[in-house]
Amino acid sequence: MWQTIYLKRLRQDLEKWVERGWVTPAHAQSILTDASGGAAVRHIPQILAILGAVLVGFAVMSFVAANWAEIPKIIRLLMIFTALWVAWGAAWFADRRGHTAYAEAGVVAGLALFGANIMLIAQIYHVTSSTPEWVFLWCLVALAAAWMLPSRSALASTYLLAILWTAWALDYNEQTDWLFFLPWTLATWLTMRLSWRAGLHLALLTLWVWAGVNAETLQDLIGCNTGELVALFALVALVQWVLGLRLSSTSIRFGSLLENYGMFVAFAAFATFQLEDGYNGAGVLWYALALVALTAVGALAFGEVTARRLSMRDYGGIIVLGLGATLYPLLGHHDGYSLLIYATLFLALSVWLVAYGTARNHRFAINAGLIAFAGECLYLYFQTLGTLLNTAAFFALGGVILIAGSLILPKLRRRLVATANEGDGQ
Amino acid sequence: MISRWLAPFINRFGRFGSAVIVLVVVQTLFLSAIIADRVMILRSPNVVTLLSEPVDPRDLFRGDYVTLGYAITTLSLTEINGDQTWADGETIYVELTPSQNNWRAVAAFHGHEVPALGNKIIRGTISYYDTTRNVARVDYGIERYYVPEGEGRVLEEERNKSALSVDVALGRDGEATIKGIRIDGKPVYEEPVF
Repeated sequence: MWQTIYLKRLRQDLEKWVERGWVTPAHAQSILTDASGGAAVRHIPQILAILGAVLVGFAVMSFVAANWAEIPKIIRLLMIFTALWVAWGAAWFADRRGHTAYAEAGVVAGLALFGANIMLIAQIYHVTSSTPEWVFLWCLVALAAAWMLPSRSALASTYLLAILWTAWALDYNEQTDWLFFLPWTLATWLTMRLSWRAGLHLALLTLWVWAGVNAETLQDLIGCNTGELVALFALVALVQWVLGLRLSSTSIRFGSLLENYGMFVAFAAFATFQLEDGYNGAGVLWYALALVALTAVGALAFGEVTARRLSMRDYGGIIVLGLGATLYPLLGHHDGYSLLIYATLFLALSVWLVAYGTARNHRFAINAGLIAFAGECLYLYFQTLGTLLNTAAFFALGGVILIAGSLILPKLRRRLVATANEGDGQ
Repeated sequence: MISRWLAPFINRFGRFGSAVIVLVVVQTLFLSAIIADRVMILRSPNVVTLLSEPVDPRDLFRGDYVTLGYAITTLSLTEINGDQTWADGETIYVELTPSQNNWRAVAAFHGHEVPALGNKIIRGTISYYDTTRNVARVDYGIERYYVPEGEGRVLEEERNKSALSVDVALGRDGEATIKGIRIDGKPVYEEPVF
C-alpha cells in the first residue's frame, strides 16, 4: 500500500518537475521504472531466503519437541553440532560468492540453531532450563554476530531476543528487568553506526514494549498507579520527541523517526488521561521524576527555539503537553472534571499538532493530529450518548467545532501550500 | 595491538569468514561446556533415590515432559538441623540420609558443609520461603524429565498404580541431574552418558 501511495506522489512530483524543466522526460521515466519495480524485486530473494531460514529454525524446534528418542544420544549430539556448522558454513560460502541475501539467511539459521541447540541439549540431559539466562546469552551471541559480521538480520534478532528475555526474566524474577538495556543500548549504537533506519524502528518499538511489559513492577518501584505511570511515559516520550528535533538538524532520517515515535506515544498517553482512575497514588519519587523530565523537555525545547528550529507557538504546545502530564495526579482523579479538562486539552492539542505539522511540512504530524481529533470526537460522542440532552449537547459541540474548523483549516491549508512553495523555490 | 594480531587471520579468511569462525568456535565451546557439565555429574558415583509425584504438562518448545515433585521439594526447616534463616532466591545445600529405599533431608545449610558419614549433599535454590511457618520450597534442577511424545501420560498412569522414584546423580558441589526413573523400584528409563 505504501509503495502505491509513494509511486502516486512521485508520479505527480515528476510531472511537475518535468514541466519546470528540472528533470528530463527520459530521466523521469527511468526514475519511475526504478521506483516501481527495482526495489521490490531486489528484496524478494532476501526476504524469501530469510523467511526460509526462520522456517528451518521452526522445523528444528518442532523436531526437538518430537523428542527423537529412537536416535542414540551421541548421534543426536553430532546432528545438532553438524547442523550448526553447516548453517554458518553456508553463510560464509554465500558471502564469498557475493550472495549477501543468502549469507544473511545463513546467519539467521546459524543463530536460530544455536538457540534450538541449547534447548535440545537441555532436553537430552533433562536440564530444567526454565530460567531465562540462556535467552540472554543467546541474545548476546546474536549481538556479537551483528557487530562482527556485520549483519542486520543478526541485529534484528538481538532486539527480538532482548524482548523475549525481558518478558521471561520479569515472569521469573517478578522485578523490573534493567539488564535489557545492556544489549539494547549496544544494539542501538550499532544500528546508528550501520545507519539502518529499520533497525531504529526496532530499537524504538522494543523500548516501548519493554516499558509496557515492565509497567506493573515499575508502578511498585516508583509508587504510582497505572494512569500516573502512563503520564510519566508521556513525559519520556516528549523528551524523545525533542531529542528527535535536535537530531533532525544533523540526521533527518533518524531524527524524524525519533520525533514520530515520541509524538505518537505522547499523544496516545495523553488520550488516556481523560479516563479517570479514582485516586491519586503518586509518591515523592513520581513527582521528582516528572519534574526532572519536564525540566529536560523545557530546556531541550528552548534550545531548539534559540536555534530557530522551533517556533514559540510550538514550544508552547510541547510545554502544555508536558504540564498536562505532570499535573495528571492532581487533575486526573476528579469525577467528571478529568474528562472535561483533558478532553478539551486533547482537542486543542490535536489542532495544534496539525498546525505544527503544517508549519514544518511534517506529514506524519498532520495525519496524527487529524486522526487524534477525529478519534477524540468519536470518543466524546460515545461518552455523551445516552440521554437526548447529552446527545444534543454533543452535536451542538460538534457543530461548533466543525464551524471553527472550517474557519481554521483553510488558513492552515494556505500556510501549508505557502510553505511547500517556499521549499520548492529554494 | 589486537588488530595487528588479527590482521593475518582476516587477510586469510576475510572479515566475514573470520567472524564466522570465531562465532562457530564460541558457540561450539559453549554447547560443549553444557554437555561436559552434565557428563561429569552423570559419571559421579554419588547417586541418591528420591520419591516423586509427577504430573504431565507440555513444553511448547521441547515437547512432552513429566514434572517431578519430591519430598525434599518442600522443606520444613524447623524439623531439620542446620541454618534456620532463609530468603527467596538463596542457594541452599540440603544434607540427605538414606531411609529404607529412598533418601530424606536431615539438615540445610547456606554453604557446602561436609556431610555425616554415608550422607550426601544436594544443592538447590529457594523459590519461595514462608517466614511464618519457616518452610522453604526448593528447586533442584531435576523437576523435569523429558519423555518421547505421548509417553508422559503412560508414565503418569504407571505412577498412579505404583510408587515412582528417581535416581539422581550429584556433582562435587551438590549439583543434581536425573540419572534414571524407577517404578516399583525397577528402572524404566536410564540415562546413558552419550
